[in-house]
This record gives sequence, structure tokens and C-alpha cells, in this order.
Amino acid sequence: MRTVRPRRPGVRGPATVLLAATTAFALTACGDGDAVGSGSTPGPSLTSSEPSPSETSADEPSETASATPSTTPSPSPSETESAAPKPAKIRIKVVAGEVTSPTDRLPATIGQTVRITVTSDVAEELHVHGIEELFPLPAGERQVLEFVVPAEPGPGLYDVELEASSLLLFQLEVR
Amino acid sequence: MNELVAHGIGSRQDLPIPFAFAVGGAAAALVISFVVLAVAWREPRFAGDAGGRALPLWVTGAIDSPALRWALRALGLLLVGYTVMTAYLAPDFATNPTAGLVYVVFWLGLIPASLLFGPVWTALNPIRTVHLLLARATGSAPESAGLKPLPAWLGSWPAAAGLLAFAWLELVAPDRGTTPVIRAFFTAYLGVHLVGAVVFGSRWLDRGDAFEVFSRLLGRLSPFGRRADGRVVVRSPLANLDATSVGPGLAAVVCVLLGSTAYDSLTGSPRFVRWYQGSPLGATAASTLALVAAVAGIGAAYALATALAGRATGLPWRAMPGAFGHAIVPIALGYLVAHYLTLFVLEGQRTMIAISDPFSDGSDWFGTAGHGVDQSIANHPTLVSSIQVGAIVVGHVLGAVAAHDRSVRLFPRARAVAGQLPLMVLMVTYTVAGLLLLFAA
Repeated sequence: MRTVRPRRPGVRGPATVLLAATTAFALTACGDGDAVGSGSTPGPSLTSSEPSPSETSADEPSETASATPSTTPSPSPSETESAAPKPAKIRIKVVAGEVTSPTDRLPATIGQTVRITVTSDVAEELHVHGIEELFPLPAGERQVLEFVVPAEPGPGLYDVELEASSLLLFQLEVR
Repeated sequence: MNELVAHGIGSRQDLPIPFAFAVGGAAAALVISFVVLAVAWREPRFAGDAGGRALPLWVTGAIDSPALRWALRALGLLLVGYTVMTAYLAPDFATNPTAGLVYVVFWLGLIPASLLFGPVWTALNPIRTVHLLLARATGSAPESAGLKPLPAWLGSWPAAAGLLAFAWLELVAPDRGTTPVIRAFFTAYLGVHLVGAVVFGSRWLDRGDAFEVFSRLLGRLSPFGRRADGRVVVRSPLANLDATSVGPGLAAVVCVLLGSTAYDSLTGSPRFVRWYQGSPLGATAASTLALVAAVAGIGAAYALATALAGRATGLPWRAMPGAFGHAIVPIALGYLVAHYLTLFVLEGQRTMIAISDPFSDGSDWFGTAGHGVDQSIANHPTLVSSIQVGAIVVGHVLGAVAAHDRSVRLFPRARAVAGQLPLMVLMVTYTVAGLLLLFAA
């Protein structure tokens, strides 16, 4: 007959396990400073397709260098900071069902303008899911489409696709 | 193509979880597994069918009363009848509630309903009601008998096939939000199960109906259960889970649930979408293959881990997958919650608004037509990420605990640790894979 082993003292069981899990999670996850939705996701470059588009900084040196008045007004640095955020830009080509896009995900914020420059070889419609924008695309012509990211439906990932063929162009990452 | 935009289900996806959360979750999963393996209890804790605190007799009486049973059957007929109406008679606009009712209110709604009340779909299933009425009308045989006895080897395999078919409909089928596609699927589904019920009796539906099995499995995590004598009892959900009856096909069902949810997560990745859209096989064939591969991969890993566990402990490896199927249920639940929570909250609201005006004629049947969707959950991505990671980790905890208890019950003491190792590795792999999908896809 088997002897009955005395039970080990202390709390064993699901409670202990859950406590250990929570502690481990809290230590690793909260140790990192940037917890406020800005967790950086390493991966394909998420910047817009054009190199650092600061029109203002390009204007300033030329303003001091030449005395000719520029056709575009060159705002001073303090004015730029209070102006609307620069548009999120992307340039896409679609040829024979193949999509050429510089990035899979374009980051944007609520209130920011999104500018999509797209050329499709067939007549199509560009559909932004969730935000529900629909733009006609004539065949072969380069179109510059703009819309402002609304407050609804809010932060998330939204597919941008060609409507008839359901071809995915990229995802809009709204934060 | 008309300019009416495609149906809203899946038009928005959650933002990826922050890297720190993914790492934290994986760390938590690893720590749990060590704790469970090293210091957790050595004697089985859960008493299976015998355990639980019995509720007063009138509770069992009320739950089993014909009045309640028929009320629930009528409710099931009403809900499905309304959906049949919108599917066949209402115009197929974006405001048609059919897709929302099927994919969100029904499929996702079964999850909290079953977690709270047990196997609710068994009580509501209109196929069961129709079969019951047919049997009563012909009077030829009682509802639980049929033309042939149900073969034992069949088990839950038909349910696994049904769940895979539904996953295909939900995730791959072209134009899956449109009413013709939904109608075709459920007409075929009704046909198959009505025939099955007529041939084998209503026992076919117990294990063969995909949605009943889904509801039944999730109901194993509810606090309510039945003792062997039929009395309704209150039990710890883990004890209830431990009492899950083992049968052929149980492991297949959980693997389909896990694999299809993982596949759904994968379809959020633009790289994956580009792959199947550019595939020479065509988008539908390629994504079907990927879905089957995801389920098969999950299944193969499970079979391997349980076979190794059997090898390590000298138990027959064929019996192992069934013995541990119940431990994967919480992990599948964690995946489901992580992936579908915001969809349920947001699209569920939209569907509740749409049901008041299914014919898009300005009517307001239930008073919700003018409401707006409260999207506050979408405005807190960090909170959503926390809940997602939390669900996966808690699912892992419960699964590890359930597997551990089953291991100490089955395995000889000397080999218990060796036997648990493959299972722990499997669960950590599932959890890390789930977190990876939330982060990178």
C-alpha cells in the first residue's frame, strides 16, 4: 500500500501560476518606456515614399541666399509648428495586376491629409476601407487622390485596394 | 461592379501590438510553463464529473423544464428565421444585416454566451428543432434514434469538417459578405445535417453539428456543469474543463479552431495578401491551401507533441491526442478573444443598428436605426493590445494547468515531468506564434 505523501506547504495551483505570469509580463512589458501606443514596430520602413519632405527647411536657405521673392510663401519656423501636419504621401503603380508600392503600411494620424499618387493600367476604382473613400481611376492616367483621415472609425489598420479586382495596394495605419 | 461598397465586416483591423508587449507575453508564457512543470501539484486536483457544488433541485428542474426548452427552441427559430428573411428578401446592400448576424452576432456571440451559460446552441439549434418536429409528426421513432446506429469512430470529425468549411466561408470565399454566398453555404449545411439527423437520430447533432460542438466546448469553461446524475452544479471552470468527454475528433476540432484563427490573423499581413493575390493558382485556391496548411500545421505539431508524450511515459501514443484536447480549448479561446474582440464590439453594434432597417427603406423596427456606433474601444489601441496579450497569456495559463492536471492523472509519477515536456513546448510554441501574429501581421 502506497504511503500517503504529505502535501507540500504553500499555495500551489492556478493562483500561483497566474501570479507568476502577471509578474513576468509586468516586468518585461512595463520596463519599456514607450507604452503609449507608440510601440515602435521594427520592420519595413514606415516613412512615406518621398524623402523627408520639409518644404520649409529647403526654402529657408534659399530665402537668405537669393533676394528673389519665392512664389510659395516661406513660413518661419514658429508658423510651421502650428500649421497642420504634413500630408502622408505614397506613390503607387499598378501594371498587369502587379502592384509596385514603396511600403506595405502608410502611417497617418487623425486629421492628417493622405495623398495617394496612383497610376493604374486598367480603369478601376480605389477604395479605402473603413474610412469609405472611393475614387475613380481612369486607365493609364496618373491620379493624385487626397482625403483627410476622419475621427471615425478611429485608429486601426485599413486596407486600400482596387475595388473590382480586390487587389491590395497598401494598408493605412491610423494612430 | 456597383458602387455600393462591400460589406463592412473586416474593413478595419487592430493595430499591431507593441514589440514590448509581445516580448512580455512570451516571457510570461515561458515562466508559467516552468512554474507549472517544476513546482505545481503532484496529485490530480480536478474531480471530473463527480465534482462541483449542486444547485437547488428546482434549478435543474427549471433548466430541464419543457416550458423553458420550447421557449429556447422558439427563440432559436425566431433568430434564424429573421436572418433567413434578411438573407433572401432584403436587398444586398452594405446595410443588409445578414453578414453581421452570421459572422459577428452568431459566430462570435456564441463565445460569451457559451462561457456564461454552457452549451447554449444545443438548446437553440433550429436544425434540432426541425428534426424533433419531423420525428414527432411522423411518430415513427423517438428523436434520439434514427435509421442506423451512429458509428463510434465518427465522433466529432463531422464537426471538425464543418468548422473548417465555415472557416473557409468566413476567411476565403469570394464575396463572402454577400447574401447569395451565405445562403448557399447554409442551405448546404442544413441539408447535410438534416440528413444526418434523420439517418442517425439527434445524436448525430450532438457531435456532428459544428456550432453545437463549438458551443459545447466553450461551455466547458463556464462555471455551470452537470453531474453524472444530471443535476446542475457550479464548478470551477478548470474542473469543468477537465470533465470534457474524450472522443474521436476532439483534437481535430480544437486544431481547426486554433488554425483558422491563426490564419485569420495572417490575412491581416499585406505581405501575405500580396502573396496569394499574385499566386499563379489564383487567389482563392492559394488562400484555401494556406488555410488548410495552417490547420494541418497546428494539427501536426499537436499530434507530434502528444505522441512524444506517450513515448516518454510508455502510454499508447494513439490515445494521447484525445486525452489532452481539452487543454487546447483555453488557448483557442485566448486566440479568439485576442483576434475578434474589437470586431465583436464594433461590428456587433453596427449589426444591431442594421437589424432595425433590413430593407433599407427608412423603417425602425427595434428602435436602433438612428443610433451611432460607439467606437471608443478603437480610440485606445494600447488598452486593446493589453487585452489581446492578456487573453493569449491567460489562455496559456489555463491550458498549461489543464494539461498538467491531466498529466499527473495519466502518467506514472517517475515519468510525469518527461511526459509533460513535449506538451509544454507545444503550448509555448502556440502562444509565441499567436503573439507573433498579433505583432507582425
